[in-house]
Amino acid sequence: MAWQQPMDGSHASGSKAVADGPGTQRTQYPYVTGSSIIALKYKDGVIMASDTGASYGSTLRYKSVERIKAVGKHSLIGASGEFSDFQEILRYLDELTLSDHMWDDGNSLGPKEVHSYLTRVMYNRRNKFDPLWNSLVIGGVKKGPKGEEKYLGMVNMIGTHFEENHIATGFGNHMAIPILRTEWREDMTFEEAVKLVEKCLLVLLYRDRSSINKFQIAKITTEGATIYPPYSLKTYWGFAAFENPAQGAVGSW
Amino acid sequence: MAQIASRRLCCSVSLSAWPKEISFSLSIPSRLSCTRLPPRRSPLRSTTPPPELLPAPSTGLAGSGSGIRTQGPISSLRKLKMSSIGTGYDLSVTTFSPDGRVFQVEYATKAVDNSGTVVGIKCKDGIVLGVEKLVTSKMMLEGSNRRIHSVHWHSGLAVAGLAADGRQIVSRAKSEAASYEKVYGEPISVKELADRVASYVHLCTLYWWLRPFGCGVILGGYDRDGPQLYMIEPSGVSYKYFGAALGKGRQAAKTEIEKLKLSELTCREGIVEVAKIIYGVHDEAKDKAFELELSWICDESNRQHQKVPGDLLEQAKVAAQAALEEMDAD
Repeated sequence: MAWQQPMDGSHASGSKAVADGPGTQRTQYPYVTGSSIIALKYKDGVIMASDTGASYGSTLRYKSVERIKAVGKHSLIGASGEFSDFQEILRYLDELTLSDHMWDDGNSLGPKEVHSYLTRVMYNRRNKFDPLWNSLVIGGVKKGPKGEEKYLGMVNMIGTHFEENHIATGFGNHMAIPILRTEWREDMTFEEAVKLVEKCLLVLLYRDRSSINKFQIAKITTEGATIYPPYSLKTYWGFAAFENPAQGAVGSW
Repeated sequence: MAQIASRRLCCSVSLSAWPKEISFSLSIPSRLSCTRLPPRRSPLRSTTPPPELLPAPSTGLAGSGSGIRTQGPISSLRKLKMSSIGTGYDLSVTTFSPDGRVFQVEYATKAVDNSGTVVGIKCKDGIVLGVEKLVTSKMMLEGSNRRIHSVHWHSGLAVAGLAADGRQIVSRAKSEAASYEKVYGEPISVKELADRVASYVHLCTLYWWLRPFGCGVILGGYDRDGPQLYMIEPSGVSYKYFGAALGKGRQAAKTEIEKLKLSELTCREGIVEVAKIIYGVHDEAKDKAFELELSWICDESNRQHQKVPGDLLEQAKVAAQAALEEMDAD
């Protein structure tokens, strides 16, 4: 994952803080990071899920942080990567939704607009070589010319952005996307969507060392955003592969 | 205050400019000796300052700058009924009149008194703001030139007087609210916001190179201390109210507000009452068309400042018109 490596490509440890000229310093690497976000469209809207952990390097330092938040009336945002950068982004979004509110003209920013705004912010910061070290997922539903329009998109620290029916960031991009590709359907009910999301989260829990067994699911529909309280999944660690993980690995030691 | 003053105003004026200003203010007495005859009728109550307070004839302090010279003897000035006009005391906001008034501020108040009526009430569960927006042209799009503005999630500002001056205050209020939240991480309290806006308004009465705002504002908000209502006048004074009114029909409106049981009134009922008041004080003979603008902050609006929803606004209008017709029938 890009956000786990120093930006200069080296893997040397220790402080790499390099001042480029007097008084400026850019983010060289992230400190406190959140892991994957899973999100997918379902029948009534968009569902988003993540664990509530945040790691300080490889130490699981914080175990109860919310990485999914509501933005305005129609959107959800989820973030992996540097947690403080995410908090800064939330401040930007607060400013954005406040000015939107103050217009009081009957219009409101939908997920599409929020996504577009964030793509500009992220790409702009990357071009200053001072990126916001995140992968962001934006989901939402808003009435448009073609009725209710579901929206799901992502943008990352280098400004890459796209829309998809299902999105997974971080380790999830490797572990969950194959599952989502085979099992996702347009007309899934909320229950089916939760099941699919939990399946992805469980795989990540087993294979991603930085994930924890405390998850949060959120949904956004025309009714608005709902962020559910955290809960745990049932795990089974008795698989043979877990008992002797080195068995299949051929090596000199 | 001083901080705001220096940031907003003084930074563009170098210190070397000060002596000039002093000489300007000293030049006023010489200007006073040039009477313009005949004096125009004063819009304010005329006052005759005692002779000892009348300025002495030009001392030559500003002799170089006085292009207009005395036309009549000084005694003719004393015979005149002293009005604010012609005495020179109404030219600058930094000059008191001999009896201790600042005429520019009073003129600014006049601008507010001529405006469409603005009403604000504090109900038991929130705030209702209402404006009688006089429509100057039939071609104007309905809903344009709004006089009620949101300045944060939880507070709104209704403007009486010059709408453009009002927007200046609104934008200041917005930035004060935003900066407070950025610094302290919580929304600004209504009291603090009112204080800051009042300071800004007052600031414009302190410097000769500024003119006071030609508008008064009613600020409503909802914070941890519940709903609150403040009114800020062009002089920069701000008081907290249960009910406040500005503009042409303020006297009648205030009498109507006093009749309401504000401690028992809900915002739902409040919007109808405010609509009734605005319709009631509207002078059909003088001003033809007007548009009713209503906003509220209450639980129903999520404790956010918002326009009153279209259907409720229509209901309030209907009720107000019905009440008016009933009154006419009696």
